[in-house]
Amino acid sequence: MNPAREQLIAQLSADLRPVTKPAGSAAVLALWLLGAGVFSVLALLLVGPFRAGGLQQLIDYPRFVVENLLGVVTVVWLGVAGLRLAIPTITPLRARVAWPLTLLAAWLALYAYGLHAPSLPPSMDGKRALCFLEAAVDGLPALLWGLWLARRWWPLHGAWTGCLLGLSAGAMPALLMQLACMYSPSHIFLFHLLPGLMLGGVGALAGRWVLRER
Amino acid sequence: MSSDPQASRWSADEQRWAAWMALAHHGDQAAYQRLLGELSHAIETYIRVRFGAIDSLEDCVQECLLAIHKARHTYDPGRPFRPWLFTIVRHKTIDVLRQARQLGGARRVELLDVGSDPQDLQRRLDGVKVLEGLAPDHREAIALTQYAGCTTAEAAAWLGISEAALKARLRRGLLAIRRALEAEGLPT
Repeated sequence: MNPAREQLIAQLSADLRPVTKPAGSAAVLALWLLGAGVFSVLALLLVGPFRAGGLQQLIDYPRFVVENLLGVVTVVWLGVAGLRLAIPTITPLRARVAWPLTLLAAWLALYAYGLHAPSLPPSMDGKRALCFLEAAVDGLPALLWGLWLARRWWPLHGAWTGCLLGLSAGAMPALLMQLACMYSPSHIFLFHLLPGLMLGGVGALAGRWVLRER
Repeated sequence: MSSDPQASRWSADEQRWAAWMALAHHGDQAAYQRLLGELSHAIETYIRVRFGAIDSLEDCVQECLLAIHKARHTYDPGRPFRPWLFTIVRHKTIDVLRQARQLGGARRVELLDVGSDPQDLQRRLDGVKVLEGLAPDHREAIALTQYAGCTTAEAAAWLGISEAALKARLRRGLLAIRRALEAEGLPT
């Protein structure tokens, strides 16, 4: 063996430290999702109360439940897929982003269908004055935290990692807005989902810049 | 159990490397040293097979070892070791090659592995002559994918273009070769 290589191996072995926090473990992923969710709830509560009767509507209107359940699955899947993009694996990028993006499309399609046939009777009840800004800003800390985690791992596709993390972080307050703000499909698209989707773009740009490809 | 000796060896390597990396996660330096020693040979072989005889082979191997060291916390002992390892190696090697290219370093692609058969030699020389007549972009795409053994994704990454653009260059290059061979009355 080349002496320089032999020396490098000896140095790396001497430098070895135990791995205390394996990247991509279920605990880390769950912590990120939980932390992002709790932060979004607290941030929303800080500005104003949730819509009165929102929880009861989850019981009374099955399609509203489906919308929200699909939203939860989408948020989780986008976040997990985003963080897992920072773990080296042979699976092609296309296969790794296809499912979470398909879920996101399905979730959005439900709201698009709601433009013609709303899940709930549209109403101004619970309207929040700054819902667009809240939906855009409340996801930022989760996005930054996710980028920080991914940067410490081994991201191969910086822009995609940032994009999925941004979409997940942005979809979280957008989803909570269904219970916190007024229910009207056009309002949801423009003031809740749009800022959430914009965070995907912000995440892609930030990821491209912060997560240099290895 | 597979009767294919190579598959058996791969399986044994896989289990041994995964076990050593799991020990390394707990701080076992001896296991880690053994692992890096074996991996360095595997990486060298992989780079030779996938990227041809490159000038910066030793640099690539050492950069890959460093990358593995930095990324070791991303290996999950519950998952296969080889995909994790060779994903890092592939990306790191392409990086090193790209950097070398940006710095003006030349990459040696051995186009000729001449046998003793004169007809074979003549055919290869004809091939080289036709290649020399191609546009540089087309020649580069063909040399990387057909001679150096890169996948289209690897070649595209190395050249800094999209995979679709690489495939277009490849298609045009192969078409140009076909026309050149037909014009000279050589078998296509």
